[in-house]
Amino acid sequence: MLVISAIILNGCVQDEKDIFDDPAAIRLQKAIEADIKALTSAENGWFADFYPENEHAIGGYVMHFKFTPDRKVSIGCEIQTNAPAGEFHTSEWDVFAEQSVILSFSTYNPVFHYFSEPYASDVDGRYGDYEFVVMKISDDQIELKGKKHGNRLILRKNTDNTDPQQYFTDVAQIEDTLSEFGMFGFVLEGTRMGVTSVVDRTFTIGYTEKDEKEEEVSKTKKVAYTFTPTGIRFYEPFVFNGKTMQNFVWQKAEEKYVCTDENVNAYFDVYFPSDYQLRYGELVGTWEMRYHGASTTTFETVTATIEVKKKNATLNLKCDAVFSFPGIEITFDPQKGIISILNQNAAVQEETGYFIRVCAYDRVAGYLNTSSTGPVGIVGVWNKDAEGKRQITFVDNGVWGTYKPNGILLRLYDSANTSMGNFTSNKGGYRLNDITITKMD
Amino acid sequence: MKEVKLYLIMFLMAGICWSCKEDAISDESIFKDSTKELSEFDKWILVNYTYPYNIVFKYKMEDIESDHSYQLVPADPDKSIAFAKFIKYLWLDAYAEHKGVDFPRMYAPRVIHLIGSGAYNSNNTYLLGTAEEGLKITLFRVNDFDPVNPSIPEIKDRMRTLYHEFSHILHQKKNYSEEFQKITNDDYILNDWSSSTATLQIAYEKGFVSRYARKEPNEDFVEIIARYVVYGQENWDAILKAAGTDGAAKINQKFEIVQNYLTVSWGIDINELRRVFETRLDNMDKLDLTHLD
Repeated sequence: MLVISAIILNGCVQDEKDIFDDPAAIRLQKAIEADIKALTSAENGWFADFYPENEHAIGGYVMHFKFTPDRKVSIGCEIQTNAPAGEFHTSEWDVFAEQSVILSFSTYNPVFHYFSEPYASDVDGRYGDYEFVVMKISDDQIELKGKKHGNRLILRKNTDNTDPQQYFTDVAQIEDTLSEFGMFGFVLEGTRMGVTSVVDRTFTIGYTEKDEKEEEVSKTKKVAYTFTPTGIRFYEPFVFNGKTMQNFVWQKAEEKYVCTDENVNAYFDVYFPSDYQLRYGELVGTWEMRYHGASTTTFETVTATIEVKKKNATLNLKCDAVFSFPGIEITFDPQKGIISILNQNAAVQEETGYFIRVCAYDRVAGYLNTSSTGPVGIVGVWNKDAEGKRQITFVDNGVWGTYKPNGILLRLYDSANTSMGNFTSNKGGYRLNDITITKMD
Repeated sequence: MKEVKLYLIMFLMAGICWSCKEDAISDESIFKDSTKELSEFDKWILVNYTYPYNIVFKYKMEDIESDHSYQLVPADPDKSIAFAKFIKYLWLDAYAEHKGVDFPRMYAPRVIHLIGSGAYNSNNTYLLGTAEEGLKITLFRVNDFDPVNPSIPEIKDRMRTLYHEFSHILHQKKNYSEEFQKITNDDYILNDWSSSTATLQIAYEKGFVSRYARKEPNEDFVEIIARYVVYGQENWDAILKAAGTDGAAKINQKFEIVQNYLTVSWGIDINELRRVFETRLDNMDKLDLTHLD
């Protein structure tokens, strides 16, 4: 017992040395003060890469933040949010302690909280965080991690006083140029490794690797990115065959992204698969449209225009000679250069308030698909042999299955989705079958 | 042996005393005074909410205060000013006028928290407000409000939420008669209240003043108070008419219990409270929702 008591005593008498000079609460307070000082230290503000969504699934967005000591922050973004692209809005911020130091964007900012906004039809919105754990601070960079969804927000000090508007304009120009390409080849140290597809500011890099049996297997790795004024920057370094890649510049003449990181010779060059049809830019312009109504096989020929709608995603087919409304949306697949006309509410009829719905129509069977949205519809097939002209014929896209639409039928629907009959008062009739378009310019 | 034990006990006691020796208490407080300057709005809140009613009015988002199962955004301060003004005028001051200032001071929730967005559920419903055990009322969709062109019907809807949530606090403190739920006991349907087949007309005919009232008796109880006070006699008569003979009889039966409960338990005359509310609503044009006083 004496021995035991001696051990207990020995354990009790020696005070543990403090690892830190100050108690935890004081250290937190000091951390808060340091973080406030750091955030407000950037005279010209901070450029930021912001990655919202779960698993950064929609890529990164360039923003600019300017924090002031009166707890106001002015925020702008390269894309249209709940404010136009490049427009700055001011709201409030705060730094406080929970388990660690938290930066909070505590009052509504139409730029920043666009990424957090929930909707009745999409209850989680873009999974944007508005409270961030301060992970790491250095002189020129602050790393923040979203408290709820783990969003990444990297602030880079605007040390050379770059004009944010100019920065956003340059970024938008790069995005505009690059958004036309849906696929890239991946070349590392002179060896072509595979094909990369691009959707939602994310590269899905394809490559092959040998497994345990020394057999080659195809693999993919997703890497989100942010645009920069000269190219792109990955969410995190992509390590492949011992090489680390994160920063790329766009070389316009060669149409490729070239890695600028040290000791790496790598690039992604524009790639068109053998069945690729037409580039987005090649679709925009004046076309001759040939079609016939259901009751006759006599073809009508009119002039139509294809206009940019959402770059690299949708176009507008405008044809005043046929449509008594602004046009029909064309869907563009950037990876294959293929266009489609899918079921849609194309417009609202002014006098009645009814939706003018584009319905996929099987003229032979006499059936139409009544859905208000795709994927049922007709798809464009590029006629390569059309005497050097760009010519596309629309056929069944194969989604409906039961019927084989060869055209579209315009029908009216009220807000309760009740059919109000065919859109018979349309200028060119309500049925358009076997549509072929030929580029005129 | 006895001596050995005694020595041992003394030895251990000495050790315990030694090990219990405390470090000197630091004279540095871990609670620092906030160095943040209060905004004009913050000062207005102190004068109009905190000092008279002992209420913290939170318009800045605090994630820790909110329900993490919802994706939310903070409130816009300009819209929060409008909310702060009409909530005080049409709700706290209305109760104070009817019952004296001590009533809302004592029973109003300690915290009002504004949230900019709706709290959307995946079953196509959304929360207008929540009350948490008398301590806090949270109001959603603040950013949808237009303080420049305020809509009276929208303000009434917002006030219904407040009168609804506050009534929960009242019945959580003093329960109402069990006779209440017996009147329409078979027609409470929990979350099915929002299904497309549970229409408003069916709710009326079954003796409820709204679809949501069918959720469960507590919601039914507070819906009666909120709708009676906020939407006025014309609306109440329309509900009774739409309910038909059977439905109206059940609503009247329940209303009688509600009215009696408010009088006996709280000394509230629901008709007088409604009169105060309506007079204030008529004077809303004198309230500038775009500026602090």
